[in-house]
Amino acid sequence: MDALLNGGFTLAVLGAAVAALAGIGSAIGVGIAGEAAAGVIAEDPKKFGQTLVMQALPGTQGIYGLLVAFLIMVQIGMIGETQPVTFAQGLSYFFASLPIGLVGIFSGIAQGKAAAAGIMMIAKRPGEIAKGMIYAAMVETFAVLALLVSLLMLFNI
Amino acid sequence: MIVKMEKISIIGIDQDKGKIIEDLMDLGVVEISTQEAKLADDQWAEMIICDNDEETALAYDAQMSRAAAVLDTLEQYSDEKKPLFKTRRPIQSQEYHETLKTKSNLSECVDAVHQLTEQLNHLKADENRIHGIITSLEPWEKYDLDLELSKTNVTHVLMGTLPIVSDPEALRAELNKSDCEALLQVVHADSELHYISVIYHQVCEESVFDILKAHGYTQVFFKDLKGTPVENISSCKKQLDEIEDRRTDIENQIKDHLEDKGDIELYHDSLSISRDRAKIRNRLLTTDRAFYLDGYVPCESAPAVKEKMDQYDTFIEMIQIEKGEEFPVLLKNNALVTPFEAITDLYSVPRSTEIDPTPFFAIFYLFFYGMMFSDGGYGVVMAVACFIVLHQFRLEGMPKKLVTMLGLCGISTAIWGALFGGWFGDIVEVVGRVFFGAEVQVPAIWFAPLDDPMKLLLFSLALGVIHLFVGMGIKAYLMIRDGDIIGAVSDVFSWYLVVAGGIVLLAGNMLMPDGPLFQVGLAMVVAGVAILLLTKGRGQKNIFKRVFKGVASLYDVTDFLSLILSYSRLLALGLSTGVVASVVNLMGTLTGDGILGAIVLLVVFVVGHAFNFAINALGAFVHASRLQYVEFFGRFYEGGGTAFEPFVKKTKYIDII
Repeated sequence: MDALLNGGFTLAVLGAAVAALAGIGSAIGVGIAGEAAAGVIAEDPKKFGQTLVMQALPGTQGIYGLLVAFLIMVQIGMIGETQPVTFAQGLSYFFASLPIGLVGIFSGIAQGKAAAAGIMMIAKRPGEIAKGMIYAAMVETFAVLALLVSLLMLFNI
Repeated sequence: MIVKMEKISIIGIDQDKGKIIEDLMDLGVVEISTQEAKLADDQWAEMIICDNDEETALAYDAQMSRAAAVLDTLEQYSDEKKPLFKTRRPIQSQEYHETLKTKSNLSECVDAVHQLTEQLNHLKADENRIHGIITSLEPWEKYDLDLELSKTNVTHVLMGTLPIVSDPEALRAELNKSDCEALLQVVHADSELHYISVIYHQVCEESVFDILKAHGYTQVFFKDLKGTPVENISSCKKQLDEIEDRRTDIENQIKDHLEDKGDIELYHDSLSISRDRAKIRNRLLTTDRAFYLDGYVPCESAPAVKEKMDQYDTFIEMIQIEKGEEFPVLLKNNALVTPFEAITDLYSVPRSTEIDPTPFFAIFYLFFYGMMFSDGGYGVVMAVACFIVLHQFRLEGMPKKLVTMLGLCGISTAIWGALFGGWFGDIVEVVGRVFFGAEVQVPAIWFAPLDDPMKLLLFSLALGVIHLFVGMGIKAYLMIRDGDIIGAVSDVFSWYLVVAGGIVLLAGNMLMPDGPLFQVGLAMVVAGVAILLLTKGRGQKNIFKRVFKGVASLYDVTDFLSLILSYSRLLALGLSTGVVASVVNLMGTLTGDGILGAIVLLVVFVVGHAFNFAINALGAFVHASRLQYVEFFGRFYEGGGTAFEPFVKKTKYIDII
C-alpha cells in the first residue's frame, strides 16, 4: 500500500501511458499513407497489395510504444506480481518512456509522408517498390533508436 | 558472380534470315543490340539500311490483343478458382508445334468469341437505353392517351412538367379564370416535379402558353413512341426479357469455348513469339542480299551459338570484351545464393566493372532476418509456407527468388528463435501456467534477449562491424584490382585500424584500465589516424589543403559510429517480435482456463499472431534489406548496370521446353 501511496507506481503508469502515445504518430502516418494509397487504387486496383505493404510501414511506432508500455507494466507488476515501486523508480520509468513516446509521434507522421510519396511512386513505377520502402525505413531508424534508448533505460532501472 | 560475355557479330545471307532468327530465339542466349550508332555513322549508312518489318509486327500485335481480350472474357466465365500465383504452363516443344498445326482454326475461334463479346456489349447498350425509356415513362403511367397524339381537329394536347414549388391547382384556377378553353390533368408528382397534361382549344394557344410559362412549365416529348405509356412500358419490359434470353444464349455460347482456353493461350503466345521475331528485325542491318547483327553472348554459351550458326553460310565473329568496357550484366550464383539476387535486383543490377555483391551479403541477410524475426514458431510457419508454395506452383524469375529467399529466412528465423527461446512468444509457458498450473520453461539454447539485452546489443553491433568490414574489404579489393593500392590503404585499411583499434581500446579499458590491451588499441587507432592524415589529401598539390583534407577526414568517424549503431535495430526489432507475441498470449489468457478460456485463447492466438507475423515479417524484410542497401552497399557498391536481355521466347501462359 505504501508503494501505491508514495506515487512511484502512478508515475510508472504515466510512463507506460506516454510510451503508448507513440501510437498517435503511427495512426496519423498510416492515415496519410492510406489516403495516398486509395488515390492510387482509384486508377489501378491491382496495386492493392503493394500499396498495403507501404501503408503498413509507419505502423511500427505504435508497436514500439506498446512494447515499452508493456514492459513497464510487467516491471511494476500491473501484469503479474505487484512490485514495490519507489518514487525515484517511478520517475525513472516515466523518463524512460519519453524517447519512444515523443519520437514515435513525430517519426510516425514523417514516415507516413515518406510512405505516401513512395505509394505515389508505385503508381508510376511499380518495379521500384523496394526503393520506396527503403526511403520510408530511413525514417523509422530514428524510432528504432528511440526505442533502443527507452529499452536500455528501462532495463537498468 | 557476373557472367563473362563475348561480343558476337553475325553476317548472313538474306534467305537464311528467318531461320537464323528462329534459331537464335530457340537458343535464347544472345542479346541483339540496337544499331543506332552504326546507322548514324556515314560510312556504314552508305552501305546498309535498317531492316524493318514493323507492319507484320503490328498485325501480330493487333491479333494478340484480340486474343488477350478473349482470354479475359473467358476468364470471367470460367468456374475455375483463380490460383494464388500465376504460373506458366510447361509444354513440350513438340506438343506445342503439333497443337498449332492440328488446331488451325484457333484464329477463327478467337474471332468467334470476340464477336460474341461485341454482341454482349450491344445488348448491354440496348438494355441501358430501354431502362432509360422506362424510367422516363414511369411518372406518366396514369396518362391514358396515346403518346403520339399531339392534336385533334380543334384541340392541342400537351405533356409537360412543373417544378415542385409551383402549385398545379393555382395553375388550374388561372386557366379557368382566363377565357381559354383548357383542361388540366395532374398525372403524377414526385419529389421534384409535377407531371401534367393540358388539352386546349387551338385558338387560345398563346394565352395558354403564357400562363403555363409563368408557372415554370417545361414541355416533355416522347419521340418515336406510339401508344399509351402503360403499353410502352410493358413492351419495353418484354424487350428486356428478350435481351435477357439472348444474353443467356450468348453466354452459353461463350462458355462452350471455355474448353479451348488452353489452346487460345497457346495461340496467344505463338503470336507473341512471331511478333518478337518480326520486331527484332529493326535491330538488323541489311544490304540487298545480306544482313548483319551484333550483340552479346555469355562465354559459356558461345560454342553452342557458333555450332548452330555454322549450319548456314554465315560469317560469325566472337570478340573478347576489353578490360573496362561495359557489357550487359547477367548474374549467376550457386543455388543457395541465387535467391538473394532478388535483393540485388530490387536495388539495381551491378555495372559490369563492379562485383556482384550477392554472394557476400547473402549470409548476412539470413542472419539479420532471423535475428529480427527471431521467433521459432514464426520461422517454421514461414519456411513451411514458402516451401509448399514452391512445391505447388511452378514459379519463375523474381517471385521464385523471393519465395525461396523467404523460405531460407524462415529457417534462419527458426534457428534464432530456438537460440533465444521464443516459440510464438511464450505460448508454452503461458498455456502451462494457465491451463495446467505447471511452470513449464522452454529453455533458450543461447539466452533470452529480455534477460540480457546489453549482450544482444553488443552482439548486434559486432555483427555490424563485421558486415561493414566485409563491405570495405570488397572496396579495397576493387581498388587494388584497378591499381589504386594507396587508395585502398587510405580509404579502407586506415579505417580498419581506427575502428578495430577503437574497439580493442574500449574493451581493454573495461577489462583493465591502461592495461596492455588498451595500449594495443591506442596504438592501432594512432596508426590509423596517422595513415588518414598522411594519405587523405594525396590528390591535393597545395600543402595546406592536403593537411586540411586529412584532418577533415577524421570527421568521418561520426559516420562510422552512426553506421555501427544502425545495427542496433537487430536487437530492437527482435525484441519487438518477442514482446508483442507475449502480449498476444497474455490477452488470450485473460478469460482464464476452462473451455471458454481455450476458445478465446485459440481465437486471439490465431488473429494476434497472424498480425504480429505479418507486420514483423515485413519489418524484418525491409530492415534487413536496408542494412544491405545503406550500410553495406554504401561502402563499395554503385549499381546502375544494364541487365542482360537475351532474345528469347517471351510468353505469358506457356513455357515451351
